[in-house]
Amino acid sequence: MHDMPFIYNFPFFSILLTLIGGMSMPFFRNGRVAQKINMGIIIAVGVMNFILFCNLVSTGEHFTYMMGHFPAPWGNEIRGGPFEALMATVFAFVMGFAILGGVFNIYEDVPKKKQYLYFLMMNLLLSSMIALIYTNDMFTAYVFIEINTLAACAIVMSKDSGETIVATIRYLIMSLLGSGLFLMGLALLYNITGHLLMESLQPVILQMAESEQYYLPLTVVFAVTTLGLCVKSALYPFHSWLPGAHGSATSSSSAILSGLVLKGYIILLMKMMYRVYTPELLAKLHITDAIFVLGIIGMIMGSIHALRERHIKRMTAYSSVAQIGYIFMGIGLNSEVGMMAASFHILSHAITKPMLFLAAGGLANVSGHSYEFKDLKGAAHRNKIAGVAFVIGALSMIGIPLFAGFPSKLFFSTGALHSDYFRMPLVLIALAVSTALNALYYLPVCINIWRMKDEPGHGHGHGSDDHSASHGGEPEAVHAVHAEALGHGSISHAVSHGAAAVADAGHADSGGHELLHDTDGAHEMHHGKTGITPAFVVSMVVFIASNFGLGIFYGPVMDAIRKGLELL
Amino acid sequence: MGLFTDHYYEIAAVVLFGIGFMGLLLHNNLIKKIVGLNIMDTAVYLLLAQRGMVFGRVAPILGDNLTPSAEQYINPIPAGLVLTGIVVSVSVSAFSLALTHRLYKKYHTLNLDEILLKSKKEKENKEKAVTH
Repeated sequence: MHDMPFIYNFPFFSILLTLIGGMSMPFFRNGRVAQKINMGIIIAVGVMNFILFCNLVSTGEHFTYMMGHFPAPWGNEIRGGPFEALMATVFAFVMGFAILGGVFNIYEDVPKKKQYLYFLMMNLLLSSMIALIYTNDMFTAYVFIEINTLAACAIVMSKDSGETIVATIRYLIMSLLGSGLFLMGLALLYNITGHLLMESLQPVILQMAESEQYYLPLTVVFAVTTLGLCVKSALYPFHSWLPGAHGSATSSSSAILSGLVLKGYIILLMKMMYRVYTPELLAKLHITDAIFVLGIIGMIMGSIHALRERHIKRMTAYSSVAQIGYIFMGIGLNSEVGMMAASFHILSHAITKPMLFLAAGGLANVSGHSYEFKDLKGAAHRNKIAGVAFVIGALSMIGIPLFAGFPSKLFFSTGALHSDYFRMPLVLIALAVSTALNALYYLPVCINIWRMKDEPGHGHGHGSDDHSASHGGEPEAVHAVHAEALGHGSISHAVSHGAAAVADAGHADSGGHELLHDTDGAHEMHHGKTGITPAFVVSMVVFIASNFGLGIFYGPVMDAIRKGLELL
Repeated sequence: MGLFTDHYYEIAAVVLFGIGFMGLLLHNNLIKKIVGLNIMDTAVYLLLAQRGMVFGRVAPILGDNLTPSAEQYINPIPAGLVLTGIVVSVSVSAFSLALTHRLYKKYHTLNLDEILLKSKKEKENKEKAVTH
């Protein structure tokens, strides 16, 4: 034990550091301080896991870490390999930039006295996700699933409006059903095997599978635990809670819930598939068939639901349902290639979806805090970086080459070609249909947010300077709302009024102001309150760059995933 | 018949789990949902605790008996799991009750359907206020 390299402590340090950091926040009771602590911890966690990842990939090793030096049947264990380290690194990276990009909205949406609690919950969330990734013990996984649930619910309700609390209670109920099922499965598993550590469980389960009389209990156990995790990660028929929760929360919360929290459970499921149940046994018991079918249905139905939405965040949330369908479809392909594709898609969705949610938040900030398509018309001219990011995210989700979504679709189709004659046509058709549907609901939004005003000779929106464009555009937005509020007719009418009155910007601004303050205090708009802060720009640029990075240099990432899955 | 007389703990646990699960899933009243959640968790604890217990044996605490053997003791791990589980379910119940309290103060009802209806109406009214 004494010759263990020091870096093998890093997973444990990450979990402990995030927990302690979270606990320290109530001592300061200050949102800004809490944010700095939170950011520092996320950076530390990201760096530690990155170092671990580089080391494990180059040496090709994996390790089990005994908590408190108690050997196997008694102690609790952490297990690390390249796969886990890669996921933990990406999670920390995405979480850091998702908070950075949405920090303007966090301070605006969350009541001032409770802001430090928001960052506390973020810390708990990161801690529980890292624990879910690294744990080698099923019961520890259950405990952290519950911590994850509570923290996730807390960040949804942080906005403290009626809508978010209703969304939270629905999310909470579905999550509790999921974790209840997981716990029941775990109790049954412990009953028939007498073990909780993944390492000791697998030989016993394989032994049971050989004598065929345990098929029924094993099927029940696998089905119940898998179902529990599927409910929590919003696989299609269990997705009803997702659009409300992801659509109404503040941008950072939506970004992190969609990009990371859903994936934490899937990674746990993948780990269990490899390290406890073994893929062969799951195939024999038809669990993967069920996952596969639900995944395919989810791919199509998620997109169809998204097509019907007129609310940009709810649409993006339904798109997440479809993407989760992709991941489960890859898992259900029952092959190494399918699993690799699913893992890659976890990464590509984890960096794309937060960007979409943050960009949607940024666009809404300059459109009177409305997420409806009709109010977002031309919003990209008022917040260019968000507009660009949204388009890139949309293209990536559709699967255009050069973006992160393309390699995952490529790998999914490769996986389909390697699978049996029943799955191959289904996957290829579903991929084609789903891609077309993605394009159908993303492209109109992209066109809508970049739509020019139709007055000839009106040069507005061509401004090369981001700053001046955003400032010039703002009164117009206010006036659009103003004109609409006065009953001037349709939106396009109102927008043209706004455009005509641009010369008279000051007047429009003040007029709009008074009215907005009269009607609804929530719709404040001042100069300098567009939300295009340096932090937002940096986060958007980093997300765009990483999207390109993953889309172009997918080879090394895929090698790392392959190595990680082999060692799992 | 032997199945029922020998395994009544397990049967009770599964029945309770079903009752709790359906309560959590189907009841409209939020408090009843939370009660359902607690019944569901308790069923799992019953199953676990029963598995750890062996009649005629004692808890594995080293006393005056200097030659301990595994034959004398019950399995302590399920008890540990139950304790951890209870802690988890207490915190989850507290959180759900706090949320329910919030919702009750806002909408003056515990019926989830009515709450959904009211929040939808509230949203529509807000939109109307903006357009008029």
